Amino acid sequence: MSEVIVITSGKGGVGKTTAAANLGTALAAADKKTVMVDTDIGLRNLDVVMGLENRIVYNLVDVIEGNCRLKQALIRDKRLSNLYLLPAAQTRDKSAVEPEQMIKLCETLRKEFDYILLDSPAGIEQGFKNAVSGADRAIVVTTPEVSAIRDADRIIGLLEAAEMQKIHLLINKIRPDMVRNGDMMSVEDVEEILAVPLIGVVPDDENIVISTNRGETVTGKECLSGQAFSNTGRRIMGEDVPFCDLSGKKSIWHRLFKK
Amino acid sequence: MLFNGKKSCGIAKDRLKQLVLTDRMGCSPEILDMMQRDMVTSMSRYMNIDKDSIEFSIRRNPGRFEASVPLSAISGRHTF
Repeated sequence: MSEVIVITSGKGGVGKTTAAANLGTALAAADKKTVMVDTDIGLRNLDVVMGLENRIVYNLVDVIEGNCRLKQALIRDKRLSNLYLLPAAQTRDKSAVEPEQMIKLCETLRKEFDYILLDSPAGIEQGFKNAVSGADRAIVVTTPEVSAIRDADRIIGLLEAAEMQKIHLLINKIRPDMVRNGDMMSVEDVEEILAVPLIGVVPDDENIVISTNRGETVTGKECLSGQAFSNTGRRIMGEDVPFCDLSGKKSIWHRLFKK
Repeated sequence: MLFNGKKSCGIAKDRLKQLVLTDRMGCSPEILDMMQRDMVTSMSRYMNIDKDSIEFSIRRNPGRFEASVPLSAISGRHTF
């Protein structure tokens, strides 16, 4: 059975595209045939994050308008043979796609793939509505900042109004040292305000910048953020995976020896 | 130190609660203030309430408005 998941946020710059790329990688690495669809028409980014920008011939709008077959527009990942990208159009605007067309596209993709990840544009306009219309479930990405959480709350309200069945929260860019010092809201603070079940917590990690520079994902690599995305992928598949402790509290080891 | 006083995490949380409340009510912060003042005035007629520590919130699913109103002192219990 396949699942269509929209990755959305409201506010820009919180790490939606990074999350989409890494969760796609995590699911594909777990032997699930996965496609990531960049629905941010006019401002495509997912191809760059995945390092696939030079392979684009056709895009989402070409498929929807019938200029090419779906298979011609799908780009296979550099490393994982069961991971694909359907890039957005760069030279068109959001009005090029209607929600009904998106639903139809998702239905077609369901026949081929286990997981379909829709990377939504920031904002609450047409592009967001398109991305949400075809999805079974939503992952709302936020950072522990006032403006990002406020926008996440708006988005959750809109998703509930659209009767989205499953809504989960992914908290990105957590800094355990700042949480410990009382200078950043903790995972529990964010959960308390948004009241939506958590699916992932990703620490702020310079490896993300480095991997994005290279057009690679961190998932599968030996680093905290890579581990966090792998765990989130497993939770998406229904596994019960404990959350890493990013509360910033020092371990017993620290308390005993590193005072 | 660049910033003094209360830890910024607490400030962020308080500001966020207020923002989310007005967003969920679909009203401006001024309207919320007016409503809070009205509620405090009418409740104060009957109880000694701690006006500065009142907390309002709106929960989703099912929608619900909650007011936490601390009493400043439960004294003068009626003895008949």
